[in-house]
Formats: sequence, structure tokens, C-alpha cells
Amino acid sequence: MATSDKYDRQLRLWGAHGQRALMDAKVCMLGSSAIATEALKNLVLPGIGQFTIVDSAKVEAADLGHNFFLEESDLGKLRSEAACKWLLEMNPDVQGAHIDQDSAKAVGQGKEFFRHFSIVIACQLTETLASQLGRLCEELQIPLILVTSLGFVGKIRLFVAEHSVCETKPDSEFGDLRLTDPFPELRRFADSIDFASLNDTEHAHVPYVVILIRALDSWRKRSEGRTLPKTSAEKDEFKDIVSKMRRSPQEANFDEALANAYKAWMPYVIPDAVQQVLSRVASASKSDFWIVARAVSQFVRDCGKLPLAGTLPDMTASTDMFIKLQEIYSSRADGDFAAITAHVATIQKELGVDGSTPGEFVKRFCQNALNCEVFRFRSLEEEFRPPSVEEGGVDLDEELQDDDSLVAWYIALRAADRFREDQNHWPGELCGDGASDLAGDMATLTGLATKVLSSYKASVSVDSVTKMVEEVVRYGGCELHTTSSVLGGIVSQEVVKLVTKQYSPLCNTLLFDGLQGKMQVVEM
Amino acid sequence: MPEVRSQLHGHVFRVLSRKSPFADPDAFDPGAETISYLRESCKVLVIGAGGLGCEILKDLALSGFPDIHVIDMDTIDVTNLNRQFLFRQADVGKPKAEVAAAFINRRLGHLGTKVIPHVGKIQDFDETFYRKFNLLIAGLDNISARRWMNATLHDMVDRTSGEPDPSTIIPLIDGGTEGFKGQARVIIPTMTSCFDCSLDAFPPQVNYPLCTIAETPRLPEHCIEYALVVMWEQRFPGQKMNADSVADMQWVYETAKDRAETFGIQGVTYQLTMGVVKRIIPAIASTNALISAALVSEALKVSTYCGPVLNSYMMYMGQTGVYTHTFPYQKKDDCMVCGGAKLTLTRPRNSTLQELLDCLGASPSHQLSRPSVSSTSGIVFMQNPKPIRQQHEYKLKMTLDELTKADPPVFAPGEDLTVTDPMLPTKLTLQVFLSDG
Repeated sequence: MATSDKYDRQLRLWGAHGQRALMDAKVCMLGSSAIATEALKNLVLPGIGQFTIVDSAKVEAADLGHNFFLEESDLGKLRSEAACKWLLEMNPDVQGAHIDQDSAKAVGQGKEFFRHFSIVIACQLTETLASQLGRLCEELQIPLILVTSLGFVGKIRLFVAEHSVCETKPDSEFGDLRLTDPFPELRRFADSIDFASLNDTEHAHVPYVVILIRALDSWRKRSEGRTLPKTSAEKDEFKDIVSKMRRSPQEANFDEALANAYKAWMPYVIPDAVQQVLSRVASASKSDFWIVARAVSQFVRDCGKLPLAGTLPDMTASTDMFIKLQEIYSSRADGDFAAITAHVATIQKELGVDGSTPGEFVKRFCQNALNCEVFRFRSLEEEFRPPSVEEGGVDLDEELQDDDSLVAWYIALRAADRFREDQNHWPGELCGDGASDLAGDMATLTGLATKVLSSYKASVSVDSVTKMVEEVVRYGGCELHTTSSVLGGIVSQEVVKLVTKQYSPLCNTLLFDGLQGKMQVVEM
Repeated sequence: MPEVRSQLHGHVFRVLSRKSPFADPDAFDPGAETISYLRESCKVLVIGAGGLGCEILKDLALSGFPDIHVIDMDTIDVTNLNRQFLFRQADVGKPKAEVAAAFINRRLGHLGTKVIPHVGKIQDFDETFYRKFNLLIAGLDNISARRWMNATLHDMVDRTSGEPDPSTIIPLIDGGTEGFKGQARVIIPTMTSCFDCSLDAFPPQVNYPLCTIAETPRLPEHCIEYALVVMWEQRFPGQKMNADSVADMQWVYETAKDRAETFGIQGVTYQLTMGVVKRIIPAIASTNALISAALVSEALKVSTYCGPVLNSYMMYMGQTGVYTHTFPYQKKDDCMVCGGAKLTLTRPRNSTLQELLDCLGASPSHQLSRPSVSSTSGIVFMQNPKPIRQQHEYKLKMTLDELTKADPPVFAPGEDLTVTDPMLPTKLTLQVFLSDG
């Protein structure tokens, strides 16, 4: 029975098809410290298909203090193996493996190593290695998530060559009721209602969809050819018509009509994000998403509109009227779906990929066509030789002068990466705790931060990041469990979003400042 | 042994041993003293051993807190297993607090961590119990328990000298999640805003109006709700529906399905029936993990001053990209808990006592459940026990004008009335003024 299912609480979010995608996913995790196991914990619990931990480190005493997926008896053993064992203990549905190899060696093996994974997560990688891995993932079309956890701060970077989603599930939806241009069946239904002949109960249960269509008719009649209320005077005029139609202030359906009046004056538009999808269909791949997108683009060319979603939000109405209206929208949506399905069949024939796109997917695309979106991410190489503000790069001067911005942490963490590439350890890692012990690394790291800054065409001085640089030296490479667990939580959310192809991924960098309890997403 | 200990906690101890340009230099004393406070004196209580609680226990132990207590009244359900990672299939039916504590003690015993479980309701424990802790972290799934805990901690602050005595202030770090969203906040009684200050920010619970579900059902939810609240009572008078009984749930499902069919409504499923009956909120491992860790990160800073403390509220939304907002939640001057606990209402002269009680319940910033009111001259209205309630029920239909002019008056306009309510551990003072409007 589906409801005694241990996955019930998540199925309510991403559905059975999302769960299937999750169970098919194969995660590659480079690293086995707390950040790696925390992210994997949140993937093993909901039932990810497989994971592979790649690391050659041995379990040390300090690991036991911050990594939950190790036991005292694991001391001295291979960390990837021990972590794998304790992660698997949580959920018998999941398969896991480990590879005794460090990240550099894995990346050095090239595409062959990563080919079989559906997503790669890499912990605490420095720039050079990250760029190489980014290139491999781009060629293989596999999403990559890089994560750095240091003291109270951290960073997450997503990179996917192209990520297309139809179920973006925005928090609030305008919906698709076609009030400004009702299709024939809807028009007939709206016209069939004779307000004057209704008794008071019936009158208070006419759905607002009908009220607004009819009010718009009246408004158009007296507005000499204007099609939609535009100015605020015109909008007031429209609302006035609605108000005059009501019989008593107790009629809740008219309250709803007034609250939703904007839906009657917003002209039908295809959102920018969807336009972008449609404009790309010619050059796109043969994936299911792009085959259906192509079919939708042909449909739009023929009828000027996207396929109808077919859902009707709840509204005050008699059962009868609501059900009739629901049927009108859903049968129109079925018609649009049939038309798209026919286009899909033709396109599949042209491409020689007969019948590969499941009807269930075509249906979901049609239901979510208004929200579909394609996400593109700047490559790591581009990020590391930063584009100018004019080219869409980040405005460092503005960010570093803004007290609410966390971009100063980005600079300090980049400097720490370079320090590690030069010296093979973290700044502050091998020193004593006093200020004088740390002064040397502080000077070196400040120099590196200046270099990172100068790679941007920014005029801001290194002074604006001094406190962050000092704090990074304080941390001396330590990994706090809580920071890793916050970051691991976000990483696993992003993995779920990427592999289920639902919701919108973060684009492209998240900075976390656990001192202030703040996060910021920036496109670096 | 001390050497091994310090190696085990090497990462945390490093942060606690070095100065920070962000920490308050007057408060943070890097080094041995701070470390020994964390390791030897600091005592933390975790409220709830569910989705957040399991994570919080792990996070505390791995942040160096050795002395941890946890309270939870619930037992483990199979649907917990997708996120409550200290529980396994074989634990279903056992008390959450005990299984969670045993797991942490087993896995992390070598850290010197000891988690002590308490199976019960927070209301079962008194001030002497709560006073033992330096800090509370709450991972609760309902508003009323959080209100009770918040009010209790505020009530425990000693103000006999006029000013709040800092040694009696126990910080409350509170979090909550729903799907991909969550929030974390730090409440320092009398100093920051409190839980009740933000009461009106919580969306009201979904309640389907009876007339809709009875007369004009449109959604499958309407049919389920009708089967649950009306048809159940008709079929099994006086018997409560048990949401954990498969037979009861099946009855509600089938009844709702039949009703939906007669109206031509589609979409009643067993899963949806469960969702409506149990008011299920979707929950996932990732959100619980990140919110819990944010709470414990604050706990470490609050306890050791090794960094600034969250001021005072962080909300997280992970559905569309990642959107977060951190801001100081404003203290409300007329908050029932931290604003002096005095409430003033002006009510129309010809409105009834029932309407006054409804107003206390419906107002988003009060949300009392079953208020009882008394005046200097005696009981105005009492909810419990039943015989007493019946004695006073005649007043519910009387207007406030009639009540104040009765002989003797039931209460006087503007006098200090005392309100008690199951939602609040303490009494509330209420003044009612009458208007002619």
C-alpha cells in the first residue's frame, strides 16, 4: 500500500516519477569527510539508486569528532570504505561502493572514470582540478556540484552544460484560465449563464471565471474597440462593472472575482523563459525534453498559444458549475495534448527515434508548458578568468562595498584555494594559535587575495576582504560539522532537483556565512 | 586520554582557540577556559526527536557538546524513516527519544557524549527541570508546543529586581521545515523578539467551511473532510476516529470516495485521504539537515561567543534556486508573552460574550484555543470542568453591555480580567472597553 510507504512524505513533493528518477541516479562523490557523508546521508535516506565514494584518506582521530558515519573501531582504516558501510546501514534500498583513490587521480583518469555516473559531487577541490573536472563533466553532459566547507563559511558551485526542466513548480502561479480570449467551449459556457434568472443561492455560486469573462464583455462593449483595461481608470471601470453585477456584499464569489480581476486584464503572453526554450529547439538535442519542446513550438506556431494546462483552481461555485467548468478546461487540455502527441510522432519519425518519448512525459510537459525553462551555467574556466560586468560578470566593486553581500568570502576562499595549490595545506593549518604564529600565513593569503581581486577589473582594495582573510587563517582548514551539514543539506536538495528534473537549480554559486546565518546566491 | 580527546575535537577546538575579527572581543575568550565550559559545564535540552531532533542530536555531539537531554512523546512510524536517520524499520513503534539517544550514545560514545532521553510531553516537566539547562533547541512540528515552551522560558526570567536577571535567561533556538522550506531563529527571552511576536506570520491552518463541504463540495479534499467530520459522527456517534487505525482510515477513504462519485468529483485516493485527515506536511531529509545544522551552529556561538549570533531570524526557500532572508525579527510591543502580557480590546457594546471569546481565538496574533475569563467579582466564563461550564453558558449569548450592567456586574469595563488558555502556560491580563460602534 502506497501510504505505509517510508517514502510517503517526499512522494508528496516529487511524485512517483520523481522517485523513479532518484532511484535510477548514480552519484559519484569525490571525498569522504563530513561534507561528503552529510550530503550522502540526505540522498541515501530518500532512496538514491547508487553512490560511489572516491577517497584514499585513512580515518584519523579528528575525523571521529566531526564525521557521523565513522566509528571508533574504524580508526586507521580506509575512510571511504568505512563511510560507505555506515551510510548503507541506513537504507537497504540503496547500493554503495568505494574506490581507494584521491580526487586528483580520479580526475586524471579522464572521462572513462566518470562516464557511468549521472551526477558528480566534489568536496574541497582546488581551482585547477575543478576546471579539469568541469571540462570532463561538460563533455559527458553530467551535472557537477563543487563544495567547500571551512570553519563557519562555505561555498557551493553548480555546473551543468544545460539543464532543462518542465516541472519548475514555481511558488506562485498565475495559472492559465484564458479569460481574455476564451476558447469556444468556455465561451459557450460563459454565455449560457443567465444571471437574471438565477435565484440568490445560485447567483452567489457562479464561479469567478464566468463573472470575469462576462464583465470583460460588458467593458469591451462600452469601450469602443479597446480590448483590455490598461490604465488604472480603465481597471477601476472594469472592477466597477463586476461590483455592479453582485446582488449582496455577502457573495463570496464576487469577492473572488474582484481579487482575481487582474487575470482579466493581463494579456496572454508566453513567458520569457518559455520563449527561450522555444527559440532553441532547432539546434537542440534529441532528448525527450527537446523533442516535446519542438512539438510545442510547432503547436505555438499554429495556434499562437501554449497547450492548455487544464487545471482549475478551487473557487466558490456550486458543485455542478465547478465540475462542468473543470471538464471544459480538462477536455480542451486533452485536445491540445493530442495535437502535441501527433507532432511528437512526426518529429520522432524525422529524427529516426520512433516512440522513444513516453506519453506520460508529453502529458507532463503540456501541463507545465507555461513554466518550462532551460538553465545554462558559466563554465569554471570562464569563472576563473572572470568576464567583465558588460559580459555579464559580477560587479565586484558594488558587491564588496555592500555590507549585505557575501562576495568578500568568495574572494577569501579563492585565495585559500590558491594557497593550497601552492603549499599543499590550508592557510593557518600548521601554525600555533597566537596572532604572531598566524602572521606569516596571513601575509601570504592577503597577497593571494590581492591577486584574485586583480583578475577582476575592479578598483576596490584588498582592505575590504581583510577580515575575511583573517578569519580564513583562523580556521586553519578546520571543518565544522554544522557548516558541513548545512552545505550537505543544500547540496542534496540540488541533487534531488537535478536528477528528478523538477524545481529550479541554484545558478551558479551559493555562499554561506554561518557567522551571521546568511546565504547569498550569485552568478560568478 | 586528554590528548586523544583534544584530537577528536580538533576541528572545533581550533575555532575555539583562536581570535576572530568577527567575535565580540569582550565576550569571547579563546582557549582552555571556553573549551572547558563547553566540555564540562554546558547542558543542552533538545525538544523533539523527530526530523529536526535526530539531526540536532548528531550536530550537538559532533560540535563538542557532551551533556545532552532530549524530550519527545512520540513513537516511531514507518513514514519517519525517509529522514529520521537514527531509526530503522525494526524500531517502528518504539519511543523516539529512547531510540535516538541510544543510537547517538552507541555511535558517538567515544566522544564522551551522553544523551539522556525523556519520553513525555513538554508540559509534564516543570521549571525546576528546565532551569537545569543552559540552552534549549526546539525542533517541533506544531505551533502550540512552541508557544508553550517560549512562554515558559519567558516566565522563568526573574524580574524581582526590576530588570531581568541575566542568570535566569535561557536562550531558545527554534527551527521548523516544510518541504524545501525552513526557518531558524534565536530567541533570547526579554532581549529579542519571541515566538508569539511572530504568531501572525504563520499561515492559518487550512479549514474547510462546513457549508462548502456539506452543500457545494468541489474538491476531493472537501469530500474527505465531510466524511471525517460529519459522516463519521453519524455512523459512529461519540466514537473518535483513530487516524492511526488502518480500518478507520479505510472507512473514511471509502465513504469519501462514494460521496465524491455522487457529485462527479475525481481524485479521492487513500494517499490524499491520509494527507487530509492527518494534516500531513511533506518533509525531506535535506531541509531538516540544513535547518538543524543552522540551529546548532547558533548553539555553539551562543554558548562560547566564538562568533556573532544570528540576528534573529533566517528563512530558507529551496524550490526556486535558493532564496534566503536573514533579518532581525521585530519585538512586538503588545506581544502577550514578552510585551508585558496585557491585552486591551475595544468591543461593540451590543456584541456578545461568545463573540469576545471567538475574537480571542480567531485573532492571528492571539490564537487562543479555549479561553476562560475571570474578573475580580468572579468567573466570567469557564471552559472546564463541564458542570461549571454549564453554569456559565447562559452568559455566552448576553451582550457585553448587559454583562457590565447586570446586578451585580459580571465585570466592569476596563478592569483587569484574567484569561487562561491551554495554549499558554501563564495567565494573561485582558482589559475590555466598550464602544457604541
